[in-house]
Order: sequence, then structure tokens, then C-alpha cells
Amino acid sequence: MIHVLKQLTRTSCCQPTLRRAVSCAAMLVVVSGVSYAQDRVYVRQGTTAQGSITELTPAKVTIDVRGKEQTYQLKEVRKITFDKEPIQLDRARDLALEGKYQQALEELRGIQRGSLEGRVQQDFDFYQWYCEGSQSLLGSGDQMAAIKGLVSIDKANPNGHHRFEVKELLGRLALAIANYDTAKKFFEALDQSPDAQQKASSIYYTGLVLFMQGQTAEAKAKLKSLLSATASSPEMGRLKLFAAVLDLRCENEMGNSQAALDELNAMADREDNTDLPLFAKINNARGDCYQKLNQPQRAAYSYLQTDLLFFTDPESHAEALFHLKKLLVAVGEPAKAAQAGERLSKQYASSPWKNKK
Amino acid sequence: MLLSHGFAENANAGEPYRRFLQKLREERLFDLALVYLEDSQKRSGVDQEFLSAVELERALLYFDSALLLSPKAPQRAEKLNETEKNLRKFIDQPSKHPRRSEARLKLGALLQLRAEEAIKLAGPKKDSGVAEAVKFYDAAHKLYEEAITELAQIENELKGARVDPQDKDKIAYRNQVRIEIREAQLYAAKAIEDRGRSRASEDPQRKADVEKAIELYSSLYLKESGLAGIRTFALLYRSGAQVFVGKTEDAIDGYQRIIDLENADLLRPVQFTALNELVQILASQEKYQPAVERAEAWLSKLRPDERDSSEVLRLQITHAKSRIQWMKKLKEEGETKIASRLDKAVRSDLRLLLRAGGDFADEAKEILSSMGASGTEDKASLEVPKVKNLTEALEESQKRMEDADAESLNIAMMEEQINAAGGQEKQDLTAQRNAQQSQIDQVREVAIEILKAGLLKYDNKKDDRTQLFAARFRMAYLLLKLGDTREAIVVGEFLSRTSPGTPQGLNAGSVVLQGFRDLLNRKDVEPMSVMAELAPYAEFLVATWPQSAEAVAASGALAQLAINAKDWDRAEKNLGILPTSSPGVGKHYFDLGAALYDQYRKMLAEKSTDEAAMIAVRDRAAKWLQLANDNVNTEEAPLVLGSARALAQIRLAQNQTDAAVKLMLDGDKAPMKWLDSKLDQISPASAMEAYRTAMQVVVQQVVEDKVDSDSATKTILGYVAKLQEVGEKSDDDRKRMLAIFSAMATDLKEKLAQLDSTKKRSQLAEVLMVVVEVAAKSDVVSTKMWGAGTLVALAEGTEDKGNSTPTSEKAFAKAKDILQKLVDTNAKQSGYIPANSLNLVRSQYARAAEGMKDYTGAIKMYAEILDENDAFLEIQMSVARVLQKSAQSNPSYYKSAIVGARPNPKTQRNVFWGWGKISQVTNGKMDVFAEQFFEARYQLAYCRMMFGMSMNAKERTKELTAAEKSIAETRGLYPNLGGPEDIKRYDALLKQIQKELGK
Repeated sequence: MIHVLKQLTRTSCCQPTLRRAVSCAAMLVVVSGVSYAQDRVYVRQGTTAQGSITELTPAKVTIDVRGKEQTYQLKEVRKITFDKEPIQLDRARDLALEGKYQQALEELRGIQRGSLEGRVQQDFDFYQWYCEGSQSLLGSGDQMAAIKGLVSIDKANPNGHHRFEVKELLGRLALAIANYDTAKKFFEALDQSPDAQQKASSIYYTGLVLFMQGQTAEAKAKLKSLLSATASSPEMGRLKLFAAVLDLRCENEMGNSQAALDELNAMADREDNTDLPLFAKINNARGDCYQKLNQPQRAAYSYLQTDLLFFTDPESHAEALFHLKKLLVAVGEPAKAAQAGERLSKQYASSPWKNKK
Repeated sequence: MLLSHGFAENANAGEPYRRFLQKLREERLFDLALVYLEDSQKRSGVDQEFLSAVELERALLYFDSALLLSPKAPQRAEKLNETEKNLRKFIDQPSKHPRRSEARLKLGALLQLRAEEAIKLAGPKKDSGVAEAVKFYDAAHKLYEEAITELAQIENELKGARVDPQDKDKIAYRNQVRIEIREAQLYAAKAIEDRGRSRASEDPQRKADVEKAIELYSSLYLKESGLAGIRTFALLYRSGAQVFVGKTEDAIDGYQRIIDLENADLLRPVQFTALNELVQILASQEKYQPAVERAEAWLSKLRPDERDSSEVLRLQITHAKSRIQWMKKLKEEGETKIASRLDKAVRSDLRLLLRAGGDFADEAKEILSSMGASGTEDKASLEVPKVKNLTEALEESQKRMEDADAESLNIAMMEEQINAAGGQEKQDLTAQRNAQQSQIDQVREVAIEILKAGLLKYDNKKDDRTQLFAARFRMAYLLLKLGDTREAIVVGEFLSRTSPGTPQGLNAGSVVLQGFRDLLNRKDVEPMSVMAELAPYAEFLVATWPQSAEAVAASGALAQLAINAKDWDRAEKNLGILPTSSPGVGKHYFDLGAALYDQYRKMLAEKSTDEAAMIAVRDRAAKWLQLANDNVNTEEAPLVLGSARALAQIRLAQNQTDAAVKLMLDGDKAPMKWLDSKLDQISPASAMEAYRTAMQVVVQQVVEDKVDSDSATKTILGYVAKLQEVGEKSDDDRKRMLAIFSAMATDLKEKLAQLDSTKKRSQLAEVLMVVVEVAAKSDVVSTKMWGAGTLVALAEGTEDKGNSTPTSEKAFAKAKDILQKLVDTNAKQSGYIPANSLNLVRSQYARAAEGMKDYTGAIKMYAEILDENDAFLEIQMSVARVLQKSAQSNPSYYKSAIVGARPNPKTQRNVFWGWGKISQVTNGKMDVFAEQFFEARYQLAYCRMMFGMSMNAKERTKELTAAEKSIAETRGLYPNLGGPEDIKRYDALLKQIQKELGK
């Protein structure tokens, strides 16, 4: 506040009429004693709104910007910061958005939770457990602690703006520990989101749960609506592709391995190979098809493609290493098989693929 | 070697074929890369440039994969052939591919490799030259020249103004072409040089070739200013060639120029090679000091990443050799102190080289061995120094441990010398060995004292806990080496139990296991008590490090002991705690499964009456053999084969034919899919047994109508041919083959006996007869014998309760035909039939004749056998049976069947014993011949009855009464006879006799 006053003083001396008018308005605001809140809403496209948040729900945020309320749908918002929050929290937020969960957690460790209040504390809690949970899916966080933390956030603040993110992550964590029924509940809850992409995620992940439960016909039926929907964003387009791969995995399980394989090959030839997670899924699916067709060499090279070129998606990479552990023995490469097993144990210690038989 | 001309793959669109292929190559997964390459060709998304170079890529994969194999591996030659085939196909394409020169150069490299292998094969240098190598080098040279011509043409088309200076791609391509021209020129010169070196020493072309190469190298060196690599190699090769033609000073100059190059990091390996050559030249000129100094100047400034390079290791070996030569000279000159210092330094350096492994370690070992024992007492090693702290103690003990370990290698080499020596020399060497061992033990004891002193100085608050572990671990290791096994076990076990799940804890576990192994090797220790001590530790290992080799070894050892004691429950328990994915566990599964299988077979052979127990053992064996088959990898061929074969036999016994087929014939690990290519890894006996089992499986498929007769015939013939191939390698193998052929004939006979349908029997017999007829056309005697034996078995199996059928007659006739030819040939060519098989052939002939009702022919052949030796019991019984059958047309033969016939003029005793004597002889050995005794007594009574029935009334009654009496006597002495079946038939015969007597 003091900083602002000094600026205004300088300005008022030397500037032409228009500037003076602006500074007077700003002076008025200061003088009148209205607290100048520093909540910020960073939108994906457009200027950041700065003011006082008056409403924050799982669907939208309303911010009072100098007396005028502006409402944004959360799908348009990149991030929200709060007045008086510690700077480490925002750094952690940015790191989490970039997927650097470990670094985000390190930033959060520098904050005394007890000194926080209200929304700031809620956001701190959210990022702490969100990063811990996400990190555990990468293979190294404390999964059970994250689950407990997220469940408690969900209960304490069911209408918070992170609601659907919490649901999705809880669903993925439940999936990771093969608690399929619980996972399905969380994913189905995503369907209530107004965001089309989150709805699409709901369909995709529910389909994935059904697939993992061996209910391939049901999984296929679930995915149908997503497959036939028009993609409203690049992210949704991507989810559609993931769903297409999952659908082909279902076909494989249902005995149509060759047809599934042909379509997966066509996808691989068509899609952009810089989408590493997509190609990892395609390759793993191809590996599954080849295993069903009793072609261990081809299955091995499919999983190897994930391992050697498309290893950034940890769940797919762990899955590939799991299969390689056995397949490389079958194709006469026992040393490499042992290495794959070792890497699976070291890199993905908390992954369900590590202990799978 | 060369930059690829391949067009850059679009980084975004579709599957990254090239990138992935490159990755597979980097990972040395060549087989998978080849499959991927094949598959890529069929994909729609692959671009034309990639497709156009498929043969080249395939060739490169085969080449790289071949280089990894030992020159002796048969697959290496196959892969090199594939390389050549694909390269030539690529080069010979009508359209000129941008990568053609790359293919040519690679083909040239392949030809040079073949030349080098031809030289190695020819053995130590011969003045006569290696013509094969000359041929290959010549061919390589021609290829390089063709590449140069073609590349020069391309370069010409891209010269100067013909290329737009803004066209970066074309300019890069032009530069690439220029590099390839220079490379081709260098290789062409090398090929000429090597061609010359491979010629005979008196061939004038030999020197001429090398001189020509020197000219070409010089030209390259002088003309090529830009490409430092090409220039340097040209200089290197030129110097080598100059040495060859005696221009040593020129060569020294060349090498020195290379060594003096500055700021040439990429060329450092070449510099080391040049230095190596220079040192050798200087040493050969007895300029030892400059040789040693030059080498040391470089070796003392090695970069960390250079230490393990082959060029540096080679230089270290040369440096050691030149110092040894110098040492000898110094000793001759009386400079023993300097020589002694050199000796110590060389030994120390060579010991370090032992850690490098591979050929360099072997060479270092050889050199150390030739240097003999050091004989010098290093007093410093035997003193216990004062240490300030644990860190110092670790350093001091480390030095002593390394010295002791290195000296132990000397001991090992001395052992070899002792074994080879004799007399006084042996005694002297043994004394020397003992003295050295004693010194080594002292050094180790000192190391222990140092560690103890260090441990006392350990400060809980300041010092590193890992050092504490390290010190204790070393103590355990030293105690083990000193033979204080129990102490070593105690310390090692403490360390591993207090560091569970860590690599260090596992290392300590290795010490414990070695300790237990040492204990078990001692004669004064009861193995079971040691195992009882090991058991809980083994369980700890498995629980804590389930995937470790140590856990597998410990549990495996316990299991083995239990197997030896036939304690199946305990063996299963010990193995059951190991995860199936533990490395090496498959072998232990196999040991248990094989032991159970042997037990089952023993019970079968002993005709055990406890069928439930037998089946239980069989099923247990199946479980472990299945686990073994699932868990051993395909590289362990003997284990895969053994488990598949035994398990297939069990599956056949369990009527699970499909499972047997998968195991032996067409599953992923089925031996019939890979046995041919791995015969060098399998004993001939195992291979032959495998073919036998495979045959049994196919036969069963025929019986179950799971395969058509034609393909079954073809398959079985294939196995017979392979069996023959394996069995012909040595006399022992031939004997084994005969035994297996005989066993196969028995297998078939038993199979036929099991079939209750006449139609099935005939069907199987028809298939096998075709097989046998074809097989018997072979020139190999044993195959003919097998064929005949099988036909006899088929014939017997298709008889109807001893009476002939059309199938059996046909089989007997074919058998007799083969056997007749064998016998006739043997009459003309003595030894045609192996002496130990002659009687087998004769008896089969006789059997076949009998089967065709040619009883005279049969008797004649039996007589040939018994005239030589009448003690063949089975033959005697066969004769008696034939006589019995002859009696159908002439009842007097019943008498002969009873009392025997054919008196020996010398002994006056009957060569044919008859049932009477047979029963007497066998009665004396009832523990072995009970079955034959009861058979003889039965037939005796039967013949009596039949003979009696052909006589007049008085004689009839006499004979029938005698028959009745003989049955009663036998029943009286042996109420249970040979079992329930015997009791039944004896009773039936008695009733018949009594009926004839009117009772």
C-alpha cells in the first residue's frame, strides 16, 4: 500500500490530464479505506483478473474487480492465487501445473501450515496431497498418505474449486491399488463437472476401470459415447485417442486380436509420435495383442518401443517393464530381462506393476 | 564408419521406424530388430526411402549380431552369410541407391573379416601363406575400387558450380561423398597390404603388395589435409607396413608423428596404438629405457574414461613385456636391485590388469605365470601398523588383501605346474607353494589385526556406519580365506541379518554361503547337521532377498540334500519358498522333478502293485518338471530338453497327448524346434532319447487320429534319420543308438498291446511299416536292425492271441527279408553286423520265421546261437515254444519240447534244453527267474497233456497223470505261483487235464 502511494505521488506532479484522472481514482480508492484484495484469477486466454473472490465453486469463480463482478468458468482458468498467500505456495502451484511434483512438494515444505487460513490453507492442503498422490503414481510418493489426505479434503471441502481434480486423482489412486469399485465411484463423479473434458475423462477412466475388472463388453459400451463425440478441444481429442486404444484392447481381450492389431498399427502410422503417452499406450496394446497371438518376439519389441522411446508416461512404462521381464527371457535375452525387472523395482517402487505376478 | 545417407525421418508423423530400429541396434537386440524390420516392410506407413534400404539394414543387423558371437559358434557363419547375401542383393539393385557405397564398404569389411578368420584357422604363421585370405583381401580390394569409381563419378557431378551454394543438403551430400572416397581409398590400401602379408614368404608379390600399400598411404597422408582421422590412420598403417618391409626408422618417425599430435582428443586411441607399436620396436632394438619412459609418460596421465579401453590395456601389456625383457638384461649385467624394483612394479601392474577380465586378463595371467613366484618377502606386509582411525585401518587392510588375493592367483598357477611336474621338481614346487601359502595366510592375519584395531577406534558419533560394515565384512571374508569357517559364518550372518534388503547384506550372505559350502566339503562334518544349520538362514535369505542368486543357491542346496535322501516333502518345502521368478531356480525344479520321475520309472520297472503311490509320485514329478520347463530359459538347452522329455512321457501316461505334443513338438520351447541347431550343447544320449520320445508322441497322435498317416510317416522318418546321424558319431554312441532302437521297438510293441481295437492296431502298424521300410533302406546296419526289430514287434503286437493275422504275417515277412539280407551280407563280410548284435539279429530272424510258420528255419537259426552258447534262457524258451508249435503237425515234438533235443557230440547233453531243464535251471534262481520258472512248469504240464492226448490209452493216462502231478507239485510248493493270472491259468489247465482223465 505504501508502495502504491509513492507511485501516485510522483505521477500526480508531472502528468497530463488523463493520467491525473486515473491517479485520482486510484487515490480515492486508497483514501476511502476499501481493502485492495490481491486475489488473482489467471485465465488461459486474456488478462489476469485481480480483485476479491466472492464465489468459488467446482464450476466457476467470481471475482470482484474494483466493484465489478467478473465470472469465469473454471475450464477457462489456468490458476487462482489468493491474497496474503506465501510465495512458495504459488511456486508450488506452478510447478505442479508443469508436472514437477517433487519440486512442488519441496516448496510446500517451506511453509508453516499453521500460519495459513481459509482458502489459502485449503489450497495448501490440496497441493500437498495432490502432488504427493501424483508423485506416487510416478512411482515414488507416499500413496496411502496421499489417499488419506485427499479423502479428507474431499470431505472437508466438497464444494471447493479443486473438487473434480480431487475426484480424478482419487480415482486414479484407487485404480493403482486395484480398488476398482472405489475408483469407479470417483470417476463417475467427474461426470457432474460442467467441463466437457472432465466429462470425457469420466467416461475414459470408467471404461478403463471396467477393462481392468475384465468387463470388456461393458468397457466397450462405456467408451462408445466418447468415441463418437466431437472433440471440443485438443485435450479432449487426445482423450478420444486414448479411448480408441482402450477400445482396441477390449477387442483384443474379446478374441479379435488381429483386427485390433491392424487398427493399432494404422493409428501408429497416422498419429503424431511426439504424443509420447499415446504412443506408449498404443505400443503396450500392441504388445498385448501379440501375446494373445502367441508371438513373443513381436510382443517384446512392442513393449520395448515404449521402454526405449516413449517412457515418459510412468504407468505405461511400468506396464511395459513388467511384460519385458518375462518376454525377454522367452526370446533369449535373460540379462536384459533381469535389467527390466530391476528398473521396474527401482523406478516404480510404488507401482502395482512391481508386485504383479 | 560412415554417415548414413538415409533421409531424415519426419519427427512427428507416424511410427518412428528408423529411430526404433537404431535403438534396438544400440541395445544389441539384433534378433528382435530383424523381426521388426521384416514386419515394417508390410506396414502402410513406412516411407519409400526406408523400404528401399531394407536389405542394407538387414545386412547391417546380421553383421553386428555375428560380431558378438564367438568365431566357433555355428550361428556366426550363418549370420555372416546372410550379411553377404543381403549386401550383394542391395548392391546389385538396378537403380543406384545413395547408400550403395556404404554397402560396398561394409561388404569389403566383411570380406576382410573372413580373411582374418581364414588366417586364424590356418594356425600360427606359416611361410606358405593363406590362399583363402589372399582371395578375400583381393575381393575386398576390388569392391573398394568399385566404390571409389562410383563415388568419384558422383563427386564429379556435384563439383563447383554444378551445385547451388545455397543448397545446403547438396553441399552436405557432396562433403559426405568426399569423406567416403577417402575412406574407400584407405580401406583399399589396407586390403592390398593385408593381401601382401597373407602371401607366401617366397612370393615376390608379397613385398610388392605391401610397398604398393605404402605408396597409397603416403599419397593419402600427403593429399588429405582436412580429414585428420584419415591422415592419421594412413600414417599408422603406413608405419606398420614399413616395419614389415624393414624400413624401421621410417616407421618410428611415423609413429612418433602420431604420438606428437596435439589437441586431437578423438584420436587418442590411435595415439595409444601408435605408442604401443613404437614401444615394441624400441624394445626389439633393446632400447629399453626410452621404450619404458615413453609408455610411462602416457600411462601416468590416463584419463578416467581411458583406463579400460582396449588400446590402453594393450599398451600396458606391451609395457610389462618390455620391462621384463629389460629386467633380464639388467640381471645379466648384475644390476639386480633395479631388476628387483622393476620386477615388483611389473607384478603389481599385471595384477591390476587381472581385474580387467577377458583376453587381457588371460595374457596378464600368462605373463605372471612365466615370471614365476616372486620369492621376495615383503616385510612391510607382515607388520601390523598403528592406525589412527577406522579409515586408515581400511586402507591398510585393503592393500594387504589385494596383495594376498593376487598372490593366491600365483598359487593357483603353481598348482597347475605341480600337477604337470613329477619327481623332485614336484617336491620342490610343492614346498615353494606351501611356503607361499603360509606367507599369504600371515598377510591375511595381519589384515585382520589391523581391522580389529580399526574397529576399536570406531567413533559412533563421528565415523561413517558404512565403514563399520565394510570393516566387519572384510573380516568375515578374511576369516573365510583363512579357513576359520565357523567364525566367518557367524560374522557374515550377523552382518546380513542386521542389513536386510541391502546389497551389502546380500554380499555378507555370499560369505555365509561360501562358509557353508566349505563346511560341507569337509570330511569331518556331518552334512545333515550342516544343512540343519543352513536351513533357517536360507529361509531368511529367501524372505529378504527373494530374487537373489544367493537365496536360490541356499534353498537349492537344501533341496538337493533332501532329494538325495528321497525326502520329497522337505525338498518341496525348500523349493516352495522361492519365488518362481528367482534366477536359476529352474535348475532346482528340474533336479527335483527328475528325481521324482526316476522314482516313478523305478516303480514302473519293478511293477509296483501300489498304483496309487506310483501315480502320486508321477503327478508330483509332473508338477516340478512343468515348473522347470516354464522357468528355465531356452539357453539352458539340456534342462529344457530334459524337462520337456520327461514331462512329455508323463503326459502321455496321463493321456494328455496335446500337452505332450506342445512340450515336444510344437510349443515355444519344444525340443523338436531347436534341437538340431543346439546338438553341440546336448549329449548324444539325451538327443537320441529326445527323438525317441518325439516318436512316441507322434505314434500316439496316429492312434488318436490327430494326425494323418502321411505326415506322421514323414515326421517319424525324420526323427529316425536324425537319431541315426547323432548315433553314428562314436562307438559308444552307436551302442547307445542300438539300445534306443531296441527300446523303440519295445515301445511300439507295448503301444500295440494297449490298443484294444484291432482296427487301430492295424492302422498304427501300417504307418510304422511304411516308416520302417523306408528306414531299412539306409546303409546303416543299426537302422536296418531297428527296422527289422520294429517289424517283429509290430507283428507280435498285431497277432491275435498268438495266432497270426494278415498284418502280422506281412510284418514278419518284411522283417525276415531284411534280416536275411543282413545275415547273408554278414556271411560274406565278417563283422558287417557288430559282434555283440549278431545274436540279436539271429533271434529276430528266428522269431520272424516262427511268425511265418517256418519252424524249421526258426529252429535252425536258434541252433546257430545255442551251439555257441546254450545258456541264453530266452532263446531256450523260444526254442521250446517253436518245438511246441511244430508238434501241431507232429506230436512227437511235444516230447522234444519237454526233454529237449539236439545232443552235443562232445558233452552228450541236449543243446535244446526243453521245458524240463528250463524249469530246473530257473528253480535255482527264483529271485530272478520266477516268471520263467512258472512259465516253464506250466508249459511242461501242457506239453505232457498234449503229448498224452496223442498217444494210446495207456500212455495217455500216464502222461496226463504226470501232467496233473506236475501241476500239483508246483502248486504245492508255490501256492501263489506268479500271481493271480498264473493261478487262473494253472487251475484251468488242471481242470482240462482232470477232464481228460475223466475226473
